[in-house]
Amino acid sequence: MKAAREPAPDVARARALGAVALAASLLVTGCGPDDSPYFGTTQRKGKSPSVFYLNSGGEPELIDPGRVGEAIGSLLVSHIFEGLSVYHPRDGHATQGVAMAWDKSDDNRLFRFHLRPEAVWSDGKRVTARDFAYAWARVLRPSTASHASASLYALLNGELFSRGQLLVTRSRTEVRSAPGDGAAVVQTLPADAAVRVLKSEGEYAQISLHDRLPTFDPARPPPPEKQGPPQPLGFVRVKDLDERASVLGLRAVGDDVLEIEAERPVPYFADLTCYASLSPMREDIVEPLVKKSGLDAVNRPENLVSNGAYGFGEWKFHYEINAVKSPTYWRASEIKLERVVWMMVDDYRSTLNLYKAGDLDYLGDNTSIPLEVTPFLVKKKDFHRWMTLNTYWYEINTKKPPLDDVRVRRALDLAIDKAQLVLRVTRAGQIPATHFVPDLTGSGYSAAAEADRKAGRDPFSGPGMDFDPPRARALLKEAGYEVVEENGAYKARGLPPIEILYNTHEGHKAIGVAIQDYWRRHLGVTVSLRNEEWKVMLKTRDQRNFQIMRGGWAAEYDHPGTWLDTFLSYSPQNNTGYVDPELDQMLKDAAAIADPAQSIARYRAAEKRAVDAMTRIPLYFYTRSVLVKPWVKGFYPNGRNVHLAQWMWIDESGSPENRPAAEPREYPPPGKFVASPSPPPPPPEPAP
Amino acid sequence: MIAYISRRLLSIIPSLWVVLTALFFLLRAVPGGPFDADRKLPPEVEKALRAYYDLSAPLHVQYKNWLVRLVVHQDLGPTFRYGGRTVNEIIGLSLPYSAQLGVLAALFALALGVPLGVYAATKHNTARDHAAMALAMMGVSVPRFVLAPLLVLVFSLKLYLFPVARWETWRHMVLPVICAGLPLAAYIARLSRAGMLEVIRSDFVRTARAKGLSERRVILRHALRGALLPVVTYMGPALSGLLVGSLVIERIFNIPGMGRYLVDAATNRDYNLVMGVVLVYGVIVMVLNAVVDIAYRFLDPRVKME
Repeated sequence: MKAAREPAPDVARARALGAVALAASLLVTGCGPDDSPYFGTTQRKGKSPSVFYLNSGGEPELIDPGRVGEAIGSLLVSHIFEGLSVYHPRDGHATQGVAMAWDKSDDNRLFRFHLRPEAVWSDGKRVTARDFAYAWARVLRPSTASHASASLYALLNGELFSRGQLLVTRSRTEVRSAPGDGAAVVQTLPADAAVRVLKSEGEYAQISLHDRLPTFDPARPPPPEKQGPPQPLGFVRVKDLDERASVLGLRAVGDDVLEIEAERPVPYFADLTCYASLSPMREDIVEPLVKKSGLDAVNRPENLVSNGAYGFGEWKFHYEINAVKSPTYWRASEIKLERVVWMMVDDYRSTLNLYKAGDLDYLGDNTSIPLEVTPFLVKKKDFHRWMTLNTYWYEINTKKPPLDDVRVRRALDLAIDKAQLVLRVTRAGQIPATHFVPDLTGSGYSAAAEADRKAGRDPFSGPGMDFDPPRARALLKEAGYEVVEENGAYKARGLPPIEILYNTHEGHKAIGVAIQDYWRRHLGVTVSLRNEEWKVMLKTRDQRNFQIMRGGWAAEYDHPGTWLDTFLSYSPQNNTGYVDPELDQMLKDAAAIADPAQSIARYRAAEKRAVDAMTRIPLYFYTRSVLVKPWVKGFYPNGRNVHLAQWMWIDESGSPENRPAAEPREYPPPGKFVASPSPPPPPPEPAP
Repeated sequence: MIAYISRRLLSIIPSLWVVLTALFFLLRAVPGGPFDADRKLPPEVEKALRAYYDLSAPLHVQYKNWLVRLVVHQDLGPTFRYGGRTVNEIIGLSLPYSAQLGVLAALFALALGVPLGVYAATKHNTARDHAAMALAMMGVSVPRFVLAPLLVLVFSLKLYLFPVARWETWRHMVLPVICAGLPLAAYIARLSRAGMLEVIRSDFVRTARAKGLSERRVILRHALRGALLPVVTYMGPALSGLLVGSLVIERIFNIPGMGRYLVDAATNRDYNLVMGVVLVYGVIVMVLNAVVDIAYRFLDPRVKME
């Protein structure tokens, strides 16, 4: 999961001021456009071709795979651990990792992964399906407090389990009509009965029965989700209940097979298995460690037993992390970079200087090039820019008039000249957006978008989609706010002023100012700007104390669902207050369609509906700009912006040829999920 | 005299306590918490995290726990941002870098500033004096975030004399030390010039001259001590700023010092780390100020030890 990292405001200020000096420095050093086709040195001096130097972007917050959340930690974990699947270097799709093949049911609800026997841990033990079952259940355990827990809500009962609301009786348990030993017994439950905890009252908890349990059998699906609140059964003692992972749609069948039963259809499940937080972990290592030294002990690199291409070497806090190729990794012989050095440089000037001097081979996945220098760098051969799976948008609080009226919201959208906005304000080659899912999104979305465009039926361009001030004024008039011309300027009669909220940042401010101007110029709307420090704005957002707020979304998986699911009425990311049962249903249906093309078509229809409601104004799709030295091979721009050292290598011969260090192993087409022949014994539970 | 010194040092404790107590409650009154993020954490996760880091108890209990842990165990607690690290550990890892840079920068500033100031004073109102002071004025006025890229540009990217950033060998230290020390040197030059001008006109210097001592001996043996009083006063707070580290210099030269946390930790609502850094900063400022007070007794016979 990648959350946007926001620089501290004073740093932003320092950046703005320092930019002048940097721009001057670039000019004075004589790196004019006609000077060198590359930025800085083109000869790698005094460095081994098997050591790779890059910038991590800073110190990671967490490196416990079960808890990792932010981009830097995820990047490190992806090198140190290996999940079922690995991102392909070219476009980031899922390729074989610890798993060699997978099966799925027709309704995208059941999955089976076949693990390779040669995958081992750094201490030589085999990586088994149990290591995955343990690790994933651990992510969901409330006591783990994982930032990534929501990524496994896809598992059946994952969310209830992670909220501590789905427990199992320890032994035969009497259910009473009221909290207290004296109350009448309503029912006696057998041992191992799954119950929902509705509320706690002292030593007692009010429960209901829960029969939606995994079957791992496509022929016998669990009972459907019940509508409405669950029926309370009575009260039981809290200490008679136990947390057990067996309620989850997740089990190991022997060493080699991991079976998953999802809560709802998940067409993108294989993609999820590339996630850093879905790495395997060793129960026999982690549990004693947590018991002895607490949860945070798993974050100490010296405590980790890992299964990835690299292992941690020397780590200097806030300065440098070394990773060394793991001799036990199953593909170790194919890996060309013996050592990876992540310098932690958070200042872009130093990053660029270090790169220029040849100390860095690559700026790193978490470094951005400031706007002021891109016009100069854009001409360099080692400069790369591509589109990523991120969308920048404005969120509208649909609960407050006048923005509760869809016509007003659409008018605001149509009055923004997005093409000019990216050309003149954001200036990094961003793609103006009229919808929410970037066109390069995988899982068949980009193909569908291309086909629609060729057939001349692109739902997201044309009248009513593109910049169109007259139409915007007409919409406002329809909504009761006539736009009249007074002294050569427009004025929207009766429309109260609108406020845009953004987190303190020069870039967001520039965009806000531009939009303020568009709305004033084309609609005669008075717009004020308000900025808040990042964390303060998050609070304001949660209290829904805004009219229009800067927002956006970075893909969690390469599928339109990652953006569109944030429009679900019950999504925690739905900040707009907008509830549309029809849209909820469309997205639910889309996920359950077996045929990928039909599923994507349905997602596109749902997206159209979301665009029509205009609860968020899409502004642009992000691009990413980096510098990579010409001797770095196996580097490809990909929309996920994940570049793993295991695919890269260094070639100082000057040859233009580019290929990965080794060809990634593609999955065979997914097989059909049929129920395991004999139900295996339940996996052993750790003693509570 | 020992009584004076110990009393002066002991008076730091109540001041520190007031600062830290006010900070403890102010930090928690600022909107936004350590676990707020772009992607909302599920409420159970946030609850578990708050409990794990002792943030769910009532404020006065948290305060008591924090104070007891600090006083009894000298433990500043865990950071919320960097899992598995403690505040003690982070300060222990970063302070030495800042202190090393700070001490070198202070020495550089003194070595450059004092001779320059004295020289200017002895050449009072000549072209050389004006040139020296114009130079010093520039040094005072140019902010470090302009100075640092300029130094890198000239000495690293143009002349290839020093590395552009990082903290490895002595060659890596040259530019950051100059950058941290130069504004200070300029200020010291101005202070010591002013101090020297005042002292040169005083009676005891006239007496020394009347005795027929060489000009060099008059300045170095008799006048300098008095002339440096303003510099000493200034060095207290200046050095404490240097020792704790400068956000700008540490960022530009990629030095893993403590300066960054003064800002970053507050932005991240990393309460324990903010408290720890402010504690260190407070101790250094107050101790250095006390040292300045004490040094006064030695440098200026008019100030009595009492």
